[in-house]
Amino acid sequence: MEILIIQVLNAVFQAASLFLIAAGLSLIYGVMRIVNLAHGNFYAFGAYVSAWTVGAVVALAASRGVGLGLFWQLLLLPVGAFAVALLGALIEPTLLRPLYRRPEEYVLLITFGLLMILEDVLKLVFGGTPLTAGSIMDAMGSFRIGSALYPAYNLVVIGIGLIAALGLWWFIYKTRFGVILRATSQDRRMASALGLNVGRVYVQAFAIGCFMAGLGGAVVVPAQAAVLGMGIDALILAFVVVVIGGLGSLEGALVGALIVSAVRTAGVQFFPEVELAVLYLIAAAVLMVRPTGLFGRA
Amino acid sequence: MPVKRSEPSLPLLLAVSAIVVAALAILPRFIGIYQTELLIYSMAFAIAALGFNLLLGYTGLLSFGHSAYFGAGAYAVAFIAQRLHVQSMELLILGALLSTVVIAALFGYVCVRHTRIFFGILTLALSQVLWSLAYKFFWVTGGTDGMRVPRNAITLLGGLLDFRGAGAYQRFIYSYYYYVLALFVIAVAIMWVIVHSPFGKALQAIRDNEVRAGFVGIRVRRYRWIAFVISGLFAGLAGALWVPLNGLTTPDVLYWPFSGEIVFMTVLGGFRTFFGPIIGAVAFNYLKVYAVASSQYWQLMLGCVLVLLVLVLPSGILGTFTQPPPWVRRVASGKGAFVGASLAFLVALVALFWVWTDRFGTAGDLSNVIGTVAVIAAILAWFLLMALVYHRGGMIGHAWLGVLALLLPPIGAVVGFGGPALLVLPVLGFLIAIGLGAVLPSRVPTEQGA
Repeated sequence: MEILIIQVLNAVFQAASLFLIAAGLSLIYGVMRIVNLAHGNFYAFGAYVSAWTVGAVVALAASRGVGLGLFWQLLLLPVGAFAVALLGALIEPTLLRPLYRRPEEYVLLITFGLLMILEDVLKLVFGGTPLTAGSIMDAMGSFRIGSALYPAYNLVVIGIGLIAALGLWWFIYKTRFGVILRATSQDRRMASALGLNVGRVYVQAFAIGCFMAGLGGAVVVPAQAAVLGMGIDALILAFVVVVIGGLGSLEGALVGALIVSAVRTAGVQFFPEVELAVLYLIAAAVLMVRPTGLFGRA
Repeated sequence: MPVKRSEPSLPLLLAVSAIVVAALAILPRFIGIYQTELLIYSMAFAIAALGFNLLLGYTGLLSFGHSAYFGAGAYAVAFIAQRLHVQSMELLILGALLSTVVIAALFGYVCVRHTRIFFGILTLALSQVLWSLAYKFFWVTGGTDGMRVPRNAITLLGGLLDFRGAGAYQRFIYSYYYYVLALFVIAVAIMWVIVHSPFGKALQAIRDNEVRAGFVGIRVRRYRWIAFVISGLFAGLAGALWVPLNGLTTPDVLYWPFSGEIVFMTVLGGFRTFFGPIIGAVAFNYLKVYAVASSQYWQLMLGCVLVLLVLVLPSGILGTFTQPPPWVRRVASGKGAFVGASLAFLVALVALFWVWTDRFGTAGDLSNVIGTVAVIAAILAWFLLMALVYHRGGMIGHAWLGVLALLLPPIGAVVGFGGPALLVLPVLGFLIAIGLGAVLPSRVPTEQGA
């Protein structure tokens, strides 16, 4: 029973961060029809920046003889997400915009180039040693489930995931900007004809998508270290999520993240050898039966 | 937009091919064993890229999962060699092709139901199934350790050549070079026949307009499926040839970034041309080996090359000559723009070359990065310059001007004294070409909007 509870919590914890990444990927595809292969590396970028910032500030405070409170550390955590959003806002107008009139292969390729660049930029800037913001994890302690201990921070991540899902839903379906975003996603030229600044909408959508990826990285980094190559692994999982849920669909990203995390958690417990293969097969099966995913529209 | 294809006539093509193959055949006598080995790798990748391009360039399907078939070929060879103790390379290749056919037929049957981005993602997802199996079933596949295929465990030409005892490495490289070269020539010939056959024309019709192709009676999905299987077969052959050379196959060749590299090679060479993928594979292989050798940040450099390529030269190395991007056309047809841009590239070339000779050899990884970037940028500047002169020459009806631009730099490099002096003759040559291009009257009216 304890194990079941712990595994369910683990699954939801994984789903929370996976949802953040996948929602960003899905949002970017939904609005701009770009499959962003560099998205996983945006996630890694967010993780690195957050871990580095928290670590650096804690060390700085310690060198002055002050202990940095948990509240301030948590407040520092989203720095990575903002950094990634800024990066996205720079990349879209410079590298992606010139390619919208060309066949979609080129956009895919340029994001693959970005992936390679970001992978090494992370290595160049942060070095090869894994970075973590473990001080947050330690400061939050853990609580008991039966006879087992469970880190309290994981619940925070689940909370952030929920808040992000709700926030994103409210943002897209209840605000004026959300209407603009959806209008642009449905018909770019009509939106432009109605006087919307499509270029600006694209930058904003791309930056928000990047922000989500960065946030996914930021919330993960107190629990798991930021390592090189994490982006490439994460991208494939995020792909599976959006393929199952439907490219461009927010609900799909949520449901997909839950499914993928549940299968992974169960897989690690019961069928560790084929855990990943099963995920890809599920994705392939969904694509075969419903190419637009469970929640996607054509 | 219909793509104009200016392909040379068959006799000319055969003559040029014969010269190239003859040059490749005598090349190992002049270059070292290491360069010979690199050429074998290049030819193996070229076969994979050629197969990939049947889908991308000729059928209009972007597969992001061709690592699956390359890896399937590689792992099949490893399995048969290790478990069944088969030594003959011919049998190993046969086994690899059979396994690749099965996998490509199965995956292809699923994938060709979709096009565009869904096709890409589906191929990606399926290739990752194979990757995760190779990665996780370590007691069968060795996991990340991979499977070894030592060269002393294989024989060529039905047991005629084996590689045991002293000097095995040398003997292996030099015999394997000709072995791969022969298969490479056969593969290129087969692919040439395929794309120029009615079947190949049907694929191009499907690429250009799926609906119309269906109306004239082409069974679109079945044709795509067959193209998919053929394409996978070429990748499988490439993988099979690659294993003994590498001595080892790891899940890395099944992982999706390797699929990206195959796409990269093809686009680098130019996917709208037949020979583009071959040139792209060779160029990519050298680029990667060079970048990896000079710095741990080689991905950064390759990534920059890819980004630049997509933004500046979307039609690739060969495509820049056959289908120049609009800006090359525009610049080459205006006299002032042509002279200005050419001189700018020339100055950049010299400056970058100077940076390279100055920087290279100094210690430190980052300085190596700068040196390597300078080299790559210099190659790009040289290439752009050549493209401009070539097109200017072509446009004013003086094809020899283009030939001059093509020939002078290598001649200069051979005759030059080494170091910065290496540049003097090519620069002079380019200056002559630019000057002539600017002075001679334009005979062909400016072409717009191509």
